[in-house]
Amino acid sequence: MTTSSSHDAILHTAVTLQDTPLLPAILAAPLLGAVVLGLLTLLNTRKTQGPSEQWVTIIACAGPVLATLLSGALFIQMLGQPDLVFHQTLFSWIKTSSFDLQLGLTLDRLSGLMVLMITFIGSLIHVFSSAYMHGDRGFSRYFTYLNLFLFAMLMLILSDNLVGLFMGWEGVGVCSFLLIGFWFNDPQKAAAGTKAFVVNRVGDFGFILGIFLLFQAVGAFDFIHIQEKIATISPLQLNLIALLLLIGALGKSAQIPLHVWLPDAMAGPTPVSALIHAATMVTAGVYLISRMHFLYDLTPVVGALIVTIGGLTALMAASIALVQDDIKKVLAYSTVSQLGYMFMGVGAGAYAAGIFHVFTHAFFKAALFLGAGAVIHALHHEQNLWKMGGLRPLLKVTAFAMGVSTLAIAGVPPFAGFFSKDEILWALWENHYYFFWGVGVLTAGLTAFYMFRLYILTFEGTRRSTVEVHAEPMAMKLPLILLGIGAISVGVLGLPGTLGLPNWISHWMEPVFGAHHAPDNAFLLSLGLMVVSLSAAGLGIVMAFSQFYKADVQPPADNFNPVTLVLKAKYGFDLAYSYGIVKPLMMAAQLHKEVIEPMLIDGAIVIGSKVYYVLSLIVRTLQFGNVRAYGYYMLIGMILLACFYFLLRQPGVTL
Amino acid sequence: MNSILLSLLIFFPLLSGAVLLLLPRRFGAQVRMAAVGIAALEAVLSLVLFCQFQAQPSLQFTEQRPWIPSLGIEYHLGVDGLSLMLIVLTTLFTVIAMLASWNQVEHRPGSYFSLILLFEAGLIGTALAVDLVLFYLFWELMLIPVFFLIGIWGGAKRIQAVTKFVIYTMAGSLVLLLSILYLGVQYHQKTGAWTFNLLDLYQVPMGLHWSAELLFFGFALAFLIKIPIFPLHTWLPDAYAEAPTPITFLLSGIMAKMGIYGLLRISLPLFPEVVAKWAPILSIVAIIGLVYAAVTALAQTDIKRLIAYSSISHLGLIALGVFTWNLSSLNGTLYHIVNHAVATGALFLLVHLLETRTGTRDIRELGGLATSAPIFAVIFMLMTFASIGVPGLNGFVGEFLILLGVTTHQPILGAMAATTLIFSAAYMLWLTQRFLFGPQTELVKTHENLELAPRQVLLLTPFILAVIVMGVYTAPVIDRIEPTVKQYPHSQNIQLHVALPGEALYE
Repeated sequence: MTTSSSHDAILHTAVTLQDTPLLPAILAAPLLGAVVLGLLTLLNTRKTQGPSEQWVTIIACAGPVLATLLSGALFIQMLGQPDLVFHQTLFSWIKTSSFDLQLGLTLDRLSGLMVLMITFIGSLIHVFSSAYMHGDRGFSRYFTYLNLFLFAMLMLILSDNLVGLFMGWEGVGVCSFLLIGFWFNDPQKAAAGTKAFVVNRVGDFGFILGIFLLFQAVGAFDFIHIQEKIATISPLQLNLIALLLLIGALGKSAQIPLHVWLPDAMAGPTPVSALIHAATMVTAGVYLISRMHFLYDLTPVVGALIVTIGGLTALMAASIALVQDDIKKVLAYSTVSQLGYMFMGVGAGAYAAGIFHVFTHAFFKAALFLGAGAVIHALHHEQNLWKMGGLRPLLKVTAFAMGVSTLAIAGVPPFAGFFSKDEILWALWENHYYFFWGVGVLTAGLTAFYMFRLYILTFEGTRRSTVEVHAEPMAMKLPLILLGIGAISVGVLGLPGTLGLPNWISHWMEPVFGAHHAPDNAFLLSLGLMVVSLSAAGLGIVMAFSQFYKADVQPPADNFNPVTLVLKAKYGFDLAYSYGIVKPLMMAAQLHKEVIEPMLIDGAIVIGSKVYYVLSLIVRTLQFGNVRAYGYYMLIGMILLACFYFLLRQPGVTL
Repeated sequence: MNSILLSLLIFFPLLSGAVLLLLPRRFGAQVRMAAVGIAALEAVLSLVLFCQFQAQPSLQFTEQRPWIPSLGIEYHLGVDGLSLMLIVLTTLFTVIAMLASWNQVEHRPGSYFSLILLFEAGLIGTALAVDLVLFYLFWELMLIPVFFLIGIWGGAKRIQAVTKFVIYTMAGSLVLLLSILYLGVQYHQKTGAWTFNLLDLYQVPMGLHWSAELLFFGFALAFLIKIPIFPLHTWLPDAYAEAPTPITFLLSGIMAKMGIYGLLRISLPLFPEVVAKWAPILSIVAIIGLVYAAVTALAQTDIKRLIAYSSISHLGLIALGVFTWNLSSLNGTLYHIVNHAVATGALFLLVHLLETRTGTRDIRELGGLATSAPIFAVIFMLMTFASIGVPGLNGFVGEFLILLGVTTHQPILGAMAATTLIFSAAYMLWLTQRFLFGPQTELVKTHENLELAPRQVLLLTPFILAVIVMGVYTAPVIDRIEPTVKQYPHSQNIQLHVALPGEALYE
């Protein structure tokens, strides 16, 4: 583990909390937008036309842009003031005599960076969506959800306590559900939404139990008090809590074994995939672990587990991406794989590196998804890579953005992904995770291969479809260009410190995670490791070019070798869940409905009434109307009464 | 000091309901009008009570008069945080149930609406009675109108359903009566005086004697059937499905809560030691019921039955909160009583409005409703999210407090109960996926005007406001219930398993 906890205590006392009404304003901007748009949508349900798209676009983009400006203003104030933390208590949410749960917002250097990134990329994706969703009857409904999502995501990041974070956490889940199933008349899309929510609820189940146990141990929900008292918790409890919170993170960030929902989530509109299922929401798990770094610093075993899960997920998803033919599915598995990278980073204690990768990934993956959206838009909803090809001259801006983003995700310097990926690989090596360093390098090679496959099949070669291509409208070009520039350049924020270069982002987050100094003699070693990972990426790129960069590239014939089959079956997770959990559960439900309820439980009642009936038959035979029999009963009764009377007369017998 | 507000709350609907019931059939329309007016006035009265209520633990607005002095039976009423919420819920729900039934009752509408008033009187009397004999009287009064309401105005299998309902609840009532009498005898043996006044009975510790256990289970049986708790629940899906839906709305929203109320008012304070002894087993039974009902809900094809099973599952959680019995879980229990009434009640109402339009509640015949009835779909989704406990809406607050109380007390039980997060999402979202989303079925395509009318949206507005406001602004309710909750356990002299979360930190 890296050594960061020792610094926390010292830095913690130096923190100056500054109240500011700008923090609630950041939240209020998109919330207000969502409310206004929601009412507009509801008022127009009976009309054949929705509200004017222009007005909706203006209202929808106003909130995110305003939030970007506000968070930018706060961010600038934090520059040069490492101990400055903005804070604002909103109101008391749940107050009982054993605790007062106040909703509060806090903007430190970690949440500051996240908020700036989310609002900026969120704004760009709002602008892009206005073109992508043009003409859809659900235009205003779409932006209602998107604004609401942004509100929940900001709540998640800004909350100063775990329950508020959980509120945002579930809120983004709800918006994700609504947006995945946005075109709800398609049963598959509706089912994908349900699947995403339910799988995430498995994670939330762990998350909320973790919150409860933490509260039991320290009596608080807010990060400051938890951090103060974290050392008083017994190791067993600490590990249990770390594990439970991790389950939540696995669900939201689509890690094994809860990753199955994210590829299905591609059913949503493509800008949604860019914003929610690539740049922001799915990185919440990484954020949670980083936010709780003071907990995970104390639980190295759980840390090792996180590295293992992250490594396996990264490799598994990258290998599945090799055989996907749907442009969005490739990107979806790529996202799962990159999230695995981030988990390896934070698991190894390199929180700053993990967050740095969240940051760079947000730019290049958003650019890739928006690019894919532009391509899909241009080709009239075609998503199959084998029906694309030769699009570069027709979609120049898209080809530029996707090209530089492909270079970035493949880890080619000086593009953004190279630096953040290498930070993580270095942290793995430094913390003796040599095996997982190898896994990371292998994944990097696979990533370079499948991403260049995607790029070449889409933009190079000859056109394999004859549909007329729509050029990108301005509202699509602008976000693509800005994100492309980001994919090229944001890496300079985190130049490798091991090479003696300034790592601004790591330094920026020192007040949160503590200082981490590279060992002095690391120059040659880290350079050597970089060369290895670069060679892996280079090999992947060369192989992709040799296989796909030709005029008459053909889809591979159906191929039944076992490796392809396993990859096509996605390692059988969906199948296993279907036969291991869903089907047995449904059978149990049917069993309850058809057998246990009517026969066993009601059966007991029915049998009871039958017994009653039989008894009544017996009693009834005694009174069949024979007067002589009644005479006998009377006689027997009188004899019994007489006996009873004499018995009572005996001395010592009382009633 | 005697206040007549509480008597007014009981006898205003009781007497006016009885008078209206006796009016000839041809006055149906006028009776309906009068009944709604009376229910509305009653609601105003209850809001007066809510506003004048002081946030303090003791009984307020008490009214105490001798009734049968030789046996110590009194006419004794009082209200505290426990009953206050039930009263307000009852009066508001009665008005809404009447409005929802407005055009739906063709057969003898006068009798239907006056029976609802009698039912209301029974519910309010049960919640206000401080004397056990009086309590029993109102407990039975609750049953009779329901018998007729389901038996006369119910669905096709109403006779079967109502018979089952009556057999179950009568069995409970019989045991309840015996338990009340035996408790009186016990008190007489110990003190030489007769009383059925709960406040006096609280003062005499019953301990762990076998007779205390017997009495506890006698009371508990009646209450657990009413809630109902697995495996005593099979009357519920039939009764809920066959009852006219506005009545189902009252049954699930209010009557089911009377079982919980009985546990809290009678069982916990009278037999704290017995509850402490049996709490682990009762908790596990509650959790089994929670999971069992949730799984069974998955197989339902009738929306109303599905929501009925979800109701059983939620009440399992609420009962678990009672048996866990610490500050957090009891706060959560009382909060969740209101939440469950609001969210599940609204869902039943929505199903009712749907059925009156399409003539079916079968999920397989419906599909793609969100296209034809977007506002209906939005409200249904909102109530779904409230019901599955999405934070920011009211359901979360109750679930959070209950699960917090359970987990800090017994982590394993907490983990088992928290599976409700997964199950409830599964059955509710799968329901909405099938009937709101997907392609439109023939039935949905051929029907026009599936959308809610503006007055129906207005009817649902209080529910919409309640799920949102109670999700973020919890103080008005918690401030009123907590002083009462803090009274538990009444027997301060025994060491119970009560561990208040965070206590160590704040004291």
